[in-house]
Amino acid sequence: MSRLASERAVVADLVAAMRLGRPSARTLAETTAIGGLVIALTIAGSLGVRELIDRSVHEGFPAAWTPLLMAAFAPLAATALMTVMEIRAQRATLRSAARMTETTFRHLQHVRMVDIDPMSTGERAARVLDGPEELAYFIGWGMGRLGMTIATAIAAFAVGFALNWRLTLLALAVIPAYYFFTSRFDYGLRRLAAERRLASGADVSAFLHEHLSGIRLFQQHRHEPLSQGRFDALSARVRTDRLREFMAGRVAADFGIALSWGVGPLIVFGYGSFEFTQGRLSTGDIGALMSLVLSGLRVAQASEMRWFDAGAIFAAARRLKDTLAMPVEDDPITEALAVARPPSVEFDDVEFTHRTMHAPVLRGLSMLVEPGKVVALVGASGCGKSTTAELLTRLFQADAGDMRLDDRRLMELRLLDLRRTVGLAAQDPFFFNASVRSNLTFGLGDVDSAALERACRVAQIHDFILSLPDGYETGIGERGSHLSGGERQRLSIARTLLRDPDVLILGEATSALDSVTERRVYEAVLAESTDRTILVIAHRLATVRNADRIFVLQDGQIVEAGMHADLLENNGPYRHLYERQTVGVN
Amino acid sequence: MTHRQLLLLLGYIRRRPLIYLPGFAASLVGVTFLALIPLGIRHLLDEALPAGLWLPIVLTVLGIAAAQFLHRGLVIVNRIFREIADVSMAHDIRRDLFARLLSQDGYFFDRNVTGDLVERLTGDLRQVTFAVQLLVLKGFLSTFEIIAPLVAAFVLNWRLALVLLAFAPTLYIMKRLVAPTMHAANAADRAHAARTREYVHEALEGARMIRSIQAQDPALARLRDLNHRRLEEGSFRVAFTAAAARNLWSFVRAFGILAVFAIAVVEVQAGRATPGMVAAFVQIALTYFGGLGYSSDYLADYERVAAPWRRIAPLLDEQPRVAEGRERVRLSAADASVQFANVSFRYADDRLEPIRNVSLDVQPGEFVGIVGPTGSGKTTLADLVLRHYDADAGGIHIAGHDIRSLLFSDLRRDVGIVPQDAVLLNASIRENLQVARPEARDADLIAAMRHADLHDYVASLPDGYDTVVGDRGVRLSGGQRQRVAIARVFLQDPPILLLDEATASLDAITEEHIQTALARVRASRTVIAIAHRLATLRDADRIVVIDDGRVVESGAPHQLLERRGLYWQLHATQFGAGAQTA
Repeated sequence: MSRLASERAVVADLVAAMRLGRPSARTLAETTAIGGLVIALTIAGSLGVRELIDRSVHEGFPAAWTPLLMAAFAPLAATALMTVMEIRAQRATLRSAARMTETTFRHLQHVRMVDIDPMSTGERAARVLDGPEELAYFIGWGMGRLGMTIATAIAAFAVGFALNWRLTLLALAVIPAYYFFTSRFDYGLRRLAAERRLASGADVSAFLHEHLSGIRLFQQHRHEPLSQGRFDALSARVRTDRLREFMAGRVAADFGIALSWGVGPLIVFGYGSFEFTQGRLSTGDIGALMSLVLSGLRVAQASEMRWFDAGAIFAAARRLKDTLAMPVEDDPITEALAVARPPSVEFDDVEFTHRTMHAPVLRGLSMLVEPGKVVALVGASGCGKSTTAELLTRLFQADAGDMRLDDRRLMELRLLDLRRTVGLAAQDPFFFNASVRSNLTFGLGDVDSAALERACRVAQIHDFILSLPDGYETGIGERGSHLSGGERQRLSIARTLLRDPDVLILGEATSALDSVTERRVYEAVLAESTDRTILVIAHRLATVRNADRIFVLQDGQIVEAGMHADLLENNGPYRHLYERQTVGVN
Repeated sequence: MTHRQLLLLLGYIRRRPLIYLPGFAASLVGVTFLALIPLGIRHLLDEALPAGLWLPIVLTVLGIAAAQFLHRGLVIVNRIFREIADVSMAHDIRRDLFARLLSQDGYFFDRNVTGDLVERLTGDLRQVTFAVQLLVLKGFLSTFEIIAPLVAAFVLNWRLALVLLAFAPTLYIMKRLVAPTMHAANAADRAHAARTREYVHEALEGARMIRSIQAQDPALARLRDLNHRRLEEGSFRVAFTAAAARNLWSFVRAFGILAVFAIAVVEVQAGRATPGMVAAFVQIALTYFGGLGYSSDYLADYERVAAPWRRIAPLLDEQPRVAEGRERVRLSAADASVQFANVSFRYADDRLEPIRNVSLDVQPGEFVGIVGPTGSGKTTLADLVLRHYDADAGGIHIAGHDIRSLLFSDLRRDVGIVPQDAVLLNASIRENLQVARPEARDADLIAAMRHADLHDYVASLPDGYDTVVGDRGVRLSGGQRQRVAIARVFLQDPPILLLDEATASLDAITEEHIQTALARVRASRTVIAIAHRLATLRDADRIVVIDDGRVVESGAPHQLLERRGLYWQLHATQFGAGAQTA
């Protein structure tokens, strides 16, 4: 990419990011207004200084009071106004950062499963949390500091022209010099350095997250020294990357800036001396000019720091753009469409290959579940049983074939309707580090306690919840880690039942339960589900022997189907599985 | 910050004292140049210009410009060394923190949430080291920015200098007054930041569940709520108090300038000062009050350090409750016994069923099954053997050694576990296996995976053992994840093996393969298998039934069936009436 094109792309990224941060026009207008006042006050202060040096010190009091008060309090009022601006800018910055965080968060919640699955939690979080802050600083700076810098510059030159226009014109020559030096920054270089630093920062979060949430694995395998070694290396990389970013293109530019700081006094005093000898400039004029140069440089110093951050800002903008460019789940339908309750569920010659694993999972799967029936899907572990649930909820898209609910193709339904129709209780359910109640009712708004308790009774978990110290308000730990596997599975079933789905998928949802509890759960769920279609995915055949129909999945296809007794008589794969499971026990 | 926390922080500064030297030196020299500037201005205006000689004028002007340039340059040098000190200190603390976390026990991880810990090692730490360097190197610099103009002032006119000096304490008193507000705002902001990160981590980890129940909007609403609360209760207040405190100096400056000029008028009238001296004093006053403003920022910087450091420092001091023993041991299969003697244990928050007075002798080479209803405390027994927790009463011995006297590394080498929830890293299958034995060669991995009945599947993948399994192994099925955990144990090859529902999510055929493999290695191993599926335990020498944290039945499987107790009941539901009578 040519330099110009790449700069254009960067600017476009930035504009897009700023739009996201939405700085309001009103804030900008206020900034400018306050900036104007600051100009007036700064001029008043400098004029006060000149008056004092040139006249008042000779005339004495009371003539000295007016310039004295001007010199002392005009800067105070200016600082007070600038403080107000600074606080406003900070608030806007923080708001923008929060907004950008929310936008990326929402986007990631809608990104296709294929794209988000391979990303570690730490990386997902870094995308949401770590970029926006840097970008928001830029927006806040743009609104607060930029206005202030321009205002001060105008003030400096206005006073300068009033005092001595020749000197001021000469001082203007510093500007091209300043820009010459600052343009020596290689922003591309700085951006690359910042990108690297952002990436290694995200790696640290991801590493920490993985290690701390899976700490026992590492402790069990006495992996601590190795983990420590890896972390040290990662930490050292962050250190190097941060330093590199800090230093990238800095030395030359810093030298130039220091030079500009020297050139200012050189012009003011050098040319000022000449003007003084010509009688066109008084001692007071030089004093006033110097105080202007000093306050001007202080402001310039504050804003120049932001130029050094430009690389980080560009990198964060690009990262944000990349995240927001990730495609979201396909959801073309906008109209709500109801399906009959209970619906039929049909797979018609469905093929599916996991993109990341490349191994075909389903090869022409066809099966029909009649409305209101309880159907089981059995087969070897890894044969694709759980994939059917992922396809039915459109977490993934089938490569070929059709799936229908109540004779409607899944793609004819809004995702919202589809996922409300099809409820999934999973083998390894996810929970928030929150109370039982807020986990179960997450996203539902106000749920009546009776309904909540009913769902928990069906899932055989109500009594257990009551036995907890705070009942339904008891916290269950990260990912529900304060609960046993079986308790988590039952909570997951309760969570699904509470949403009253038309189709209930129990995807190995009771694998961690003892057989007594498991049987009770099934009996209660069935009693509760007279108008529901149920798909049980299981490898334990005892779980499913009473199903209306059992499908046996093997190599991505249905190889056998029927009732338990018929399948046993068939002497096929089902009987084979069954015998393996019961043999030797009796 | 407590005294102890402050000492910890100072310790990190002392660890690399040389890093601070160039920064200090640069500040000192730079400030000397700063002191020369007003003297030059006075010389120019009062002497060189009125005299009208060109050479002194040019030299003085060049001198002023050079001093300004050198001062700026040295400020930048100071800034660069500040950055170096910042990143180095962050690196030191980060490593120490991680080492501390690696040695923590189950009690600690029950109390602390991952997202919060990650925030302490990232966000909090960044703020601490940045502000510490401000305190140390910028604070030092600005102290000299006060001293240098004061020296210049005394050289020019001691009465004016005394006026300047009198204003210094005012500012410090004002800043002390706002400190408590700043402290509260910073602490609230850090706490909210951690809560937000924790939630974002969780809600992104649970992205699949959230979309399954179509709760993306409520999930976002919760983030908005957290953000809103962080802004209102933390960040906005931090911004307000910091900006206000930072600019308090302009009040002092206003009255300071008022006083300086008022006295200057009197002094010029009395013939003790010249207009050039007054011009020099403008410069001195601006630098001095600016420096005063910067240096009194140390209070704000201190709060910026204190709030996050209060969250970090306790981690550095945290001693695990489970203390490691020192005894070395190397078990052989022949002496690999496990003995529970009157073991009782209760979780801090009563969240799980306690263990009540469990006694159990497992002989070397014995295969003991532990069964019982969900939540009866079976898994806790495994946690106690591996010392994630320590028993409150009673003791556990392996091969006659009290496990509390053993090195963790020996204990955990000799006692292996296949946990209920296999932990998979978002890395290749090879790396996931090598966790158990880093030096393992491919041949070892393949052998272990063959035992775990997963090799053929992995070999069929296009990338084979290099296939990356996704966040928490999401690309593998539950059964496959568990088989990776089983393969890890084969690689570890411990004489004592704990199986915690090791085959719960496997189908019958795979389970049989693994049972065969387990049977093969069982000959030379002591095995305690926790299971609720009795089929898993069909070859067990002995079954122990746990209910309500107690051992309620124990014996060979057929004996327990005859007894018609809890075991018999579990058995009946699992295999049905037909199975019972067969």
